[in-house]
Amino acid sequence: MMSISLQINGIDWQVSALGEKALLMKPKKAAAPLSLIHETVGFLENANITGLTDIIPAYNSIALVFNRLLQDLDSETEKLGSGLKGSGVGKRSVKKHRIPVCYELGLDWGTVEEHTGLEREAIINKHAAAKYVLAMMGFIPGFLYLDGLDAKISCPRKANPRTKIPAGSVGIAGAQTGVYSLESPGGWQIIGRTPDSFFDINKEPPCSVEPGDHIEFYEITEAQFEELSSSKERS
Amino acid sequence: MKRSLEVLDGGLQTTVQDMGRVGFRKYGVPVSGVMDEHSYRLANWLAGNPSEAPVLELTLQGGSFKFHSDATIGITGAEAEIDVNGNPVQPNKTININSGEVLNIGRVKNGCRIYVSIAGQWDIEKVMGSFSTCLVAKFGGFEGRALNKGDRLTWTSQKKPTEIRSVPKKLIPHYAARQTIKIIEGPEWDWLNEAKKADFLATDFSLSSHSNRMGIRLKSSFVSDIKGEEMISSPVVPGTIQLPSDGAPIILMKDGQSVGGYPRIGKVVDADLWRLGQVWTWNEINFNLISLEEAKELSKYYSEIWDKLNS
Repeated sequence: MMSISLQINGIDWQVSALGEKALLMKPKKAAAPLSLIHETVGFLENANITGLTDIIPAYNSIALVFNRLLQDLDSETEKLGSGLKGSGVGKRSVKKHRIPVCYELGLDWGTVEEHTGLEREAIINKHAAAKYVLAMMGFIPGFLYLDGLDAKISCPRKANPRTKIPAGSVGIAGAQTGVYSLESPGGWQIIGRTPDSFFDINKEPPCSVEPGDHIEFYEITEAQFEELSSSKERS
Repeated sequence: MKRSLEVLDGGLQTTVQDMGRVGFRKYGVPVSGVMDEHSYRLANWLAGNPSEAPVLELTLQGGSFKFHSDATIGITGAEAEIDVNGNPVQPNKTININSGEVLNIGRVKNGCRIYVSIAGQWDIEKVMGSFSTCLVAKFGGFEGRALNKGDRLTWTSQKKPTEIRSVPKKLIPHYAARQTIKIIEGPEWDWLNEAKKADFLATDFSLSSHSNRMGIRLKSSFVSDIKGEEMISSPVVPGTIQLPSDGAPIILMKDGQSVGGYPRIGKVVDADLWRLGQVWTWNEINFNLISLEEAKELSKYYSEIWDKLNS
């Protein structure tokens, strides 16, 4: 596949077409840190690039979706370069969020305990002690993919996905942890539930978190979960 | 003047759709929007509406609607028996309906989705810039869901009935049982070796009945030999062809996610994506690889057709 090189802040990127109206950017060095992706997304958001409607960050790449057909890759890359130069904006501010989790509402404790060889209490401590980065959102609106799970509590996803997982479920899949903002089918091992929701169509923007934000969890009891959930409904 | 219709039978899945939403992909919000953009634009033209107005998208089984006001409508897309109060009517031609009449759209005989436009301004609010229904997150369109019996759709129209328009014959698609779909290379195309690439392009695929607005799932004897290469979740767009290790490709469609974890071996060209809105289990699909430049030329070709229609 054809690609062109582009330098942003001293880092080399490879730019190729993801479609007639979409570009894909990948850092050239193999194990680029996630912070590089989010920093670059920040630059792109502040740059003036004609027809750019969506910037989709992922673990090791960024997609740029336009409302127009791409020109040849050379001109597109040049436009990106000059748009970024004009922006002259630094890093976007990283927000920190503390998310309450009721671990008693986990659905897959048996599997996770068996796989990790750890007791529930130890797993909860490790899950709540880590600092996570919101890597990306996807698969359904407001699903949070978090990077930074303690390797000792990683656990493969379920062989047979559930057809329904309640909104707010917190799960583990491989080396990641994640949060379901909406009820949906899914294969993650569910270890708890948060009363918080991160997707609300009546808000602008509809998500209260952004890729690149820092996330921490803290434990709450089932009674606190009920109370927080009902106070949300009232407001 | 306020006008309305009542749903007597919503069929399998009848939703309000337009061109979909842009600007929210990073939150995991799908594009949504019509599966067959070509029929969609033709339907709006028939009703004298702006070409990107909301329409009803009906799936496989048709539906039945009682009009409580006079209305001017356009019906395009999949072939089916259509009648108004039992009198057969033709699609692809402006239809005037009188208050009290019932529009019946039968099960599709060819194709998969039928589009119904109604002249006027629908009483539906845009959510995040679009009228489209987002079924996975239950918002947009009509209460975020498919239409059910008893639902009432209302709209405002001052206009006298639009002139009777007929879609030019050459713009009415023929829904062939066997479809050759044009694709371009995806980021992971080269993960297939030359023999496998040739094999993929020579394979006839059939559709799984698990296909839907999120993705079209294909079946065949094709076997993927992509092994050992760990695919990290990466951005995808409507049309992206994912190849899981079982060799059964998934073509992401309008309700598809914004990131995916399977090799993206190709992408259906935008100019052919609407054809996939009309395929179902009775169709056979094979792929024809073209260049990005050719794909863009095809996009321009369709844009010109649609622009000319509305000029």
